[in-house]
Amino acid sequence: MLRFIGCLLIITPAALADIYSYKGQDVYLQKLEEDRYLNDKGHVVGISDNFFIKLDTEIAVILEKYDLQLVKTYSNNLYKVQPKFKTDVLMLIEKVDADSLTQYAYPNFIKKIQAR
Amino acid sequence: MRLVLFCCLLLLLGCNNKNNSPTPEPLYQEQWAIHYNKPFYEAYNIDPNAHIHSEGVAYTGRGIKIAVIDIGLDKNHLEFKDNIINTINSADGSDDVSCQHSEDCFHGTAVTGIIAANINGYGLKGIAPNAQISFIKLDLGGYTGDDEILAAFDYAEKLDVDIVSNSWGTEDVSPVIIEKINHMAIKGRDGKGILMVFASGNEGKEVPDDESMLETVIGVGASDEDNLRAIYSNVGAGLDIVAPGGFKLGVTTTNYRDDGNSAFIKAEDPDGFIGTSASTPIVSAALALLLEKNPQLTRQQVQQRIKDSADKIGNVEYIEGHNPYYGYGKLNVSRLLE
Repeated sequence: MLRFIGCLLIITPAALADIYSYKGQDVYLQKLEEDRYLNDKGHVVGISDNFFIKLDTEIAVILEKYDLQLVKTYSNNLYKVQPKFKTDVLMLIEKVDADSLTQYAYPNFIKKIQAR
Repeated sequence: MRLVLFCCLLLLLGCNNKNNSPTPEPLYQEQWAIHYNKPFYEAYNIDPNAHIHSEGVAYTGRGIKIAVIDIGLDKNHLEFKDNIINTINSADGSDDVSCQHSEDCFHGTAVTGIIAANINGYGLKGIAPNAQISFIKLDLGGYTGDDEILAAFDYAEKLDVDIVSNSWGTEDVSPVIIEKINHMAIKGRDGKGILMVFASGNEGKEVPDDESMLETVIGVGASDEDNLRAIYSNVGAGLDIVAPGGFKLGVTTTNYRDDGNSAFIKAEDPDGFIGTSASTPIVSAALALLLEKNPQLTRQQVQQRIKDSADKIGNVEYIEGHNPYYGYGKLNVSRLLE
């Protein structure tokens, strides 16, 4: 019984969480409701259907490889991209992040911002 | 002949001193945060050292470009309309930074007035009345995407500003935003580093993951009328400095009105401008004076000047010059500019 509970404790974080990857490291998000997550620092965040990619090569290669469209170019080789077709954005981010052509991929989090 | 020469000399001095002399501003006595006014200080029982010691300084922020990232601006306000050199809406790139249907609409106008209110006899004296302002509108009304925050910084970087004043925060800064802030603070201003100034927030707690706590950022907390840390001011190892944000009294500044008339928020108004949002433009403006005096200072040198010149208030221990509640102490403009 104890062993069973132990197994449950071990698998619980992964089983209840969505995962994305940033620079090869898994980051857990706990899903609260549709499009709302609790992040690893305990803050409620939303996730856009677009995301960021940083890379050293031409963006066109990545766009074609992952069926993405370019939404916005920022300075310093950072791009905002959007999948052409409906997909699980977090899974796609994990794949793109792991691609050797990219420095990283990262979700476009929607978060609470406050005037102070 | 001598009399004529004397009059010419007086006239010349008057012209040169246009935005620097103690021209009577109707609300100047209420600006307790920037100078000591005996009747006002005694009426409200304010500690004589609660201000930032900025009276009589010879600098006005001339030639220094400050980006104010905030919710909305009355860009025609008589106190600073001539200082506004750019307005950009980070959501769509337009120049529309007006703000309607939000109770926070006053916020960007209040911040901008603290920095740049002109010495024109109309109302207030800004700390850096000759600074040039690029106002970048960012939606601070609830939830915002990292993409919009990134866009706001991107605009500031492209405008080649010296200082970015941010009276806002998320408590949850993303790596992609950290990278952008660090890039600007290290590579900006031709490699000398843009001064990224952030408010620490008003919840009286530690905010380790906040923009204001980053090493490359100048994190600003609030002090009060008793010349102590304001009890609401957020704290942490990354806090750099405190400046007046008020507690019972607000910081006197400009207000937003959508009827076309310029307006002010007075210190004793019930809905006064209180908080680290008010402290932050005070520090940004003071740094504009410092950069005017010495434009070649790097961001790191500026941070060192802040450490060396701040008043160690609060009767608390500063370990290696730092206390998590006070940062390196309270802003003292006269000492900063020594």
